[in-house]
Amino acid sequence: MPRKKRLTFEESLERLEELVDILENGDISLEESLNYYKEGIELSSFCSKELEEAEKQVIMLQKNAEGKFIEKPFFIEENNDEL
Amino acid sequence: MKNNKIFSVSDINKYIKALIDMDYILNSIWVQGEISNFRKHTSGHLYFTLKDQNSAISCIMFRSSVYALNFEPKNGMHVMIQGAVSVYEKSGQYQIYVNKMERAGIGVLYEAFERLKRDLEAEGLFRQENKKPIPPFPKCIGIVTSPTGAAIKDIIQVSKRRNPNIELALYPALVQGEDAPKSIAEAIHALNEWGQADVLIVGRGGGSIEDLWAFNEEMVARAIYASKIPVISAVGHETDFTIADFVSDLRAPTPSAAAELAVPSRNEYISKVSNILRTLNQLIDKRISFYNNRLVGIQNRVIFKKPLELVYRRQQELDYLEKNLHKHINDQLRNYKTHLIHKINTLETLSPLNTLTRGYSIVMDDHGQTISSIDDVKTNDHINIRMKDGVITAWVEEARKEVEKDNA
Repeated sequence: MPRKKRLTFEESLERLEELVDILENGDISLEESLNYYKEGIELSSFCSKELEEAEKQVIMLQKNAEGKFIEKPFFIEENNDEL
Repeated sequence: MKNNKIFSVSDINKYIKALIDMDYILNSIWVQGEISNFRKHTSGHLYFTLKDQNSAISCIMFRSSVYALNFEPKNGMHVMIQGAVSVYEKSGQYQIYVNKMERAGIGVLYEAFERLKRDLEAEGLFRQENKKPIPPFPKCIGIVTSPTGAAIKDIIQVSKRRNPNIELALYPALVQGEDAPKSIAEAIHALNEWGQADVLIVGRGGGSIEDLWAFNEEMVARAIYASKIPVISAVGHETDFTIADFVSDLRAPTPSAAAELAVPSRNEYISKVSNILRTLNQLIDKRISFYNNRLVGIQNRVIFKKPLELVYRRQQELDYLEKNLHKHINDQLRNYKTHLIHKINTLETLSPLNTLTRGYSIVMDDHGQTISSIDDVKTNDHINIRMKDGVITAWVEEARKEVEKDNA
């Protein structure tokens, strides 16, 4: 299956499950199964990498006067707990 | 007239104001009535008249107090106000300086809630088939709530615990007061415009029904309905149901629960991915060994193991046949030879040459015809006499017929 764009984590996981299905039940040649296997290894390492990415900061999003988005890191103010 | 002191207008108004300001009842009163002549000044102050069937009183509410309102006052609205009666000296008018305003009775709120709920339901905003599925593996969660509330704290805490690399984008909004519905709706629109969030959490922590009221406003309901990104509502505590909860794609009982619902646990997915990887490895091993077994089976066949064996075997057969052939031919030849010799012997026995050897001779004429009778020759005929070892040529001198002596 030619992959044009990078799959999302979700799509990768779905494709992985599909590959398991094909390898389990498919009437396919050795060459095909090796290709599917190779694709599966690539996808699973992509998924693992996605899962092991460094912790992300919480951002606060706001619009400026021109309607452009401004992103800045957001931190919880510990002493403000009214709502 | 003489005894009477003449007051200025200012003085009399000042005096009246002093009298009224001294009155402890008028200093802090609750008054219920209906709003009319409502006017919002550009300064932010509200001017209106509070009336009942028979009477009316002017009211003013300063901006500092207006800010805390959780609804927009309108003409005809029944409200309870708390404030002080005082005099505006310039016009000599007394009026109520309003500190707080509440909608008269919770029943009014309940009615508004029921009416909006019925209307939106009839319009189809709560339909199950219109609800978008919550993505199972979101990368980024958009959050609409107050940046200073308990809700954002809980959402961040739970989300990061479940998956440290989940992206969280807070679009701050007022979640209480008059401006809250607009603020919340704008935040939902803005996050849709931003477009990077996979799912939105819209909500706030617990509070009174008035505190949560923004989430019962039509504007918020419509913004949630219009969102292209799935919305999880997370308003107050488990027992609080708002219009936002009905229209959202998924209702979470609390902000923490919303984070649980939105953010998949990383550990679950790590083990899921590694399980798939293990299965893949097992499957490919199985396939390879299947093909390998087939290959070994084929390789073990004689043709590959001893590729010349078949040739040798044929060669052997050929050798055998060749040998047989030789033997046969020789035997045959020998038989023929024996047979021939026998024939030759027989022939020799019968051959006239043999007779010649024994001293007999054959008489032939010039044409090679054997002369076997006296009648075949005449005197002076030329004859050839064949001997064992040559030919005698002779002339016939006399041919005399013999009579048979025995019979004579």
